[in-house]
Amino acid sequence: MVPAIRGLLAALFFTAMISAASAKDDKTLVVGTITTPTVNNAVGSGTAPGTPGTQVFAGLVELDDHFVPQPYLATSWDVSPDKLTYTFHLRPGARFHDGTPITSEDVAFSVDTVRANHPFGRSMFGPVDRVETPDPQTAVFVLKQPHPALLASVTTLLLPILPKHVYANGPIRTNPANTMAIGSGPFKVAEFKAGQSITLERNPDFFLPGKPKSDRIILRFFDDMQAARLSLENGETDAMLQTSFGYGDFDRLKKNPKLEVFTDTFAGLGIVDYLEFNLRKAPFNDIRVRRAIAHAIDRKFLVEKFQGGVTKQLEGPLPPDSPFATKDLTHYAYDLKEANRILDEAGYKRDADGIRFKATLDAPTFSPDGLGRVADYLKPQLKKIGIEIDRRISPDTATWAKRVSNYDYDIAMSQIYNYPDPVIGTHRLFLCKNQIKGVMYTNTGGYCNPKVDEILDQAARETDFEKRKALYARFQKIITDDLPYIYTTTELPYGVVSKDVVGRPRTALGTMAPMLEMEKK
Amino acid sequence: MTVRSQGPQSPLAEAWAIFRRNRPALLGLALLVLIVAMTLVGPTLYGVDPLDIVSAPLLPPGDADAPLGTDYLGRDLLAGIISGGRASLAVGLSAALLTMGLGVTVGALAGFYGGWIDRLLMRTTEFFQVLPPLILAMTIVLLFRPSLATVAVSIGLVSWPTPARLTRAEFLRIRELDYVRAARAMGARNRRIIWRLILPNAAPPLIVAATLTIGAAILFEGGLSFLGLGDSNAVSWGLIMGMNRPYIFEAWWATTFPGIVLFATVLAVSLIGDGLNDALNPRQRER
Repeated sequence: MVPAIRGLLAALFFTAMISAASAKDDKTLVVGTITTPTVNNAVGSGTAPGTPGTQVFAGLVELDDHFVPQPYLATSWDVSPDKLTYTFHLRPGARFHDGTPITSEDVAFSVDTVRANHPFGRSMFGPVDRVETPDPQTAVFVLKQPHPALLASVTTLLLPILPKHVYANGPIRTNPANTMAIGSGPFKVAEFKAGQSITLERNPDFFLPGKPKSDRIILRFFDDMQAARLSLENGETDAMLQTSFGYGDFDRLKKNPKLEVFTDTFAGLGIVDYLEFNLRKAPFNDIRVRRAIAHAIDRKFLVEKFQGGVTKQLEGPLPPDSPFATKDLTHYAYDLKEANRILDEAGYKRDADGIRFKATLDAPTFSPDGLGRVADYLKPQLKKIGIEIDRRISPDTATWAKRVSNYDYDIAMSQIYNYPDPVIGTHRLFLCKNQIKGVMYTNTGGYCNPKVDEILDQAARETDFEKRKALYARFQKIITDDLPYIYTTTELPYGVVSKDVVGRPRTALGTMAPMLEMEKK
Repeated sequence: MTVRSQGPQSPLAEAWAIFRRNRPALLGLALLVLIVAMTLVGPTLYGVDPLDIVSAPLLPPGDADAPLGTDYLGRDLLAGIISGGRASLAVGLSAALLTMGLGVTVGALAGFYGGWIDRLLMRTTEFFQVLPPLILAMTIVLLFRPSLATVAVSIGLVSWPTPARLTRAEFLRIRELDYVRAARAMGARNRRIIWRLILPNAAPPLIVAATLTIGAAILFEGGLSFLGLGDSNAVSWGLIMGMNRPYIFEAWWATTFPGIVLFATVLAVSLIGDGLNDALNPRQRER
């Protein structure tokens, strides 16, 4: 061979190699999320396990951005006329990452696992009497009572289909496959670096052909939101689909020409912020005290001055854009005079320093502008009505959760995800029997109104939308009368994605959705 | 008319004369007096409650309601800085007292008695020295509740090894000096030797160390509060900075102004410490 040609070939080969290598690197997406000890979202709720879980596992259906169920692992489903039997037809040929076919046995096992282990497994699958498995492709959910929230519950986020042969061995919470998870979702876990990142690799045998688009996604953990924001700004991280950055950063990030900032994928989360009271203790068990406090909070100020006008003022348990929200609530206008009058009339006298009584106030560290800053605001604000607040600092969210869930608090700032259906996210805070000491996001305040229990029980089995809506309207009205919680604002997270990235998930569940189309341009 | 410079000077007067010649130290003293005066009478003169929400949050300096602007809740920053000095200085002072009290006691016992007491106390000191002070202090604060008292105690508990080492070294040196041996020969009790003979002669470096400890403790409190581990019910400079830290890109003033005051205070204390070092160290008197 002529040396010149050999040289040229070598050069070409070399260039090709380099460009291949860099192209591969460019295809790796780095996505920020919060630290999680587990990938298995069958045994934990929230965005931490929800983000990797929805990549690695697949559920029977996925909700689109209008909460409408779309086929996913189930290609279709039939509902019996009495609405007591749901028959799901599994996708033929779908396999787990280890090559085992997915069968209806796995579906039945997953329902049992979630019901027993997930924080709201009971409200989602308590009404399911049994899952029948007439053949490997068919799973029949037989219900004890009509269950309007069933289809919203069989999504990847809430019912990841687990391979029975992997997760049925021993206690599920200590299963090693909770980190090196085996599912049937678009991505496989290639590496789990505790406290740092999860490397996901494309599942070549994924049941939707041509998806996912990305070969490799690194889910990078961030606990410090400042660090996450800087990482997005300097381009080390390509996307963070749900942030809890302050609202002050919202405008600044929007001005960044390299980044897209969005708020359109969170409607299904229904995040609300509120004060909760330890109703086991005086004087917080006195409705007049809670009414006075409700009058002392200027929600307009919170939304406009603290949250950049991005959130909405909130008076009842459901966010205003929920299909079940009502405007017929008992309102507590911002009125310090009225608040003082109520407390005077109730006999809470001011001492020489103008103090009627003292109360501790706890707030978690997530949601700095929604919860922490509002808690700081309440201290001077409640002093104006003679309540001296001792603002207890929690070093982390776990400390706050431990105090509240063990009833070691007076007043706390809290936040809850209502999810697409109130049965899933809302009921847990109000049912008398859902007081489970030590478990956060249950009825930690100790509220109990048999009438509310009855309404919620009816709403959980009512399949007619309008009738259901009327039941929830009554519920919301009673809650604003009883005032076990004082609602402040909605919380609207926002996502940040580099403009080099296309195809971010269009979903209603924020970061907890499969990244099927997302890739670098 | 008395001619002071002719007569024999008391050691204190002599030290003051040397201190006075040290311009930076005098500047530090003036600065500290100013800052202490501000925190003591300031709140009465500038009658705005530092915890009260007076206006919109994060207003820039120069506002009619808030000359230095407002913080993230809409509180007057100037009022916060004026009142915050009390907590910062109080914690700094009490933490320094605790540090010196613990350190001098441990160091004196170890240096004077030697033997197994020395070994036991020094191993304990080393144990504290190998732990990173900030992490240890954070742990102590979190074990109890963050409050001014726990913050002061935690600073004291992590800072005492340095003065303990210093005191021990001085005691080891002085206990072998002739006048101590003489006193011992004359039958003086240990307590008298420690209190009347060794401690006064070991005092100069300890006073300097104590001064510098105040500065370090103020800074330490600032650091703990900045990390969100201060007493959120008592305004301090570090707390103001810590609470406004997330908003630093929107409102530089809310972290910068308390930072400047904190910096000035620690600088003043350090300058005074340097001046005292010169004034109390006999070897440097010839300068």
